[in-house]
Amino acid sequence: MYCKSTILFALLLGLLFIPGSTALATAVDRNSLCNLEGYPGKTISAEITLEGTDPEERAGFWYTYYKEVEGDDDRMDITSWITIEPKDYTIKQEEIKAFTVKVKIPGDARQGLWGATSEEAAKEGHSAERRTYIVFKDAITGGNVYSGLLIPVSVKVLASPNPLAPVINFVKQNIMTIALSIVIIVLLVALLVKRRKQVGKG
Amino acid sequence: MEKKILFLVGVLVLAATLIVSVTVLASNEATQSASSAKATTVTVVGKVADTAIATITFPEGAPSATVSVPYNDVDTSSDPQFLDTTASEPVVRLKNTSAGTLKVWLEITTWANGVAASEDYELVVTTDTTVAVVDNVLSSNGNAASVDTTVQIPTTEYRALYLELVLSSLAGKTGTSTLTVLGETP
Repeated sequence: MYCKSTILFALLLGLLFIPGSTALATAVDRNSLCNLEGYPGKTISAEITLEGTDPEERAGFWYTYYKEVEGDDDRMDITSWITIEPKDYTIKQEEIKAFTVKVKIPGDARQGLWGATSEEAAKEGHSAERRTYIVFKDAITGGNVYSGLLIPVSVKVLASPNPLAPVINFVKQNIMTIALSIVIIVLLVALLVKRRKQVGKG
Repeated sequence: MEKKILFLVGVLVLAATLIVSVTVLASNEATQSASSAKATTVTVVGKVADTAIATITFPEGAPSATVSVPYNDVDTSSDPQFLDTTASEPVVRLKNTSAGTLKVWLEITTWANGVAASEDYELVVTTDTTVAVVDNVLSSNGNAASVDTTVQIPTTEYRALYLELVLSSLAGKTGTSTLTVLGETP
């Protein structure tokens, strides 16, 4: 009798240690790629990583998506600017894979925000302001049901940079030192000239 | 006169040195730390078990018929979707394992071989067992489509997904399509 109750107790205790089958999917380290800044003709690069959390291997891919809204202007669809490398992937549990998102801004792109209607688009409650997305989705290998996430992308195209801007910035930041240095140099030159005159007279 | 100039230069050099040097002030520092969880995709799981499903199958039907008993590979054909006004059961459940609320989008690819005429969905809270009609349009013609359901799933919660397929008039055809459940920060 004692033996039976010990076995029953052991079995019940054992049940506590049977792991629950918790289904998970794929995690990403960035919710948005909004307000990226760049100049016309330049390419912006950003890294994004996926982490496998599902016990089963999943196979998937990246693509771009434009959410068309009536009345949108040509600034909203920037899917043609975006490439993601590598495009296809497989991911296992606890595996982390890095991807590079490249946004090539056309040389003739006008200054301003592209890919979203507002700089607030990345924030919660602002999904209506998003237009261009990158999307990843994956499924258990061999499956026909995918899951994924929409990640909004927007770019702030800046005015072409002034080639003298670094020099101007340096002068602005060191104006006092530069002014004093000039005064010192003038005084030293004056001193030198005076000495030479004295030597010439002597 | 020379001495005066040299003295002035010395003073100016000293002033420049003082301006350039960075004054380091002692301060009371308090370390702050914060972390944010990764965003995770919506998981498509079985009707009861928290196990990820791989496939959804619509059983064979007559041409132009409505097929409303799809099943997933976890619950199998013995436990398909059930439409009813009091005890409905979905084909799958969607689970939000992300750290925040996600808005759900549904996408399908074009049904191969023109096998489908249209596909509809319902996405409801799991406690709603009164789903007898599935009539939110996922694809009006069996072609690829993407729908923002506007349904939001708070973190750790589930929603029940019902699907219904209207077969095309073509007979003796088999076709496949993929269903995608996408999440977006609302």
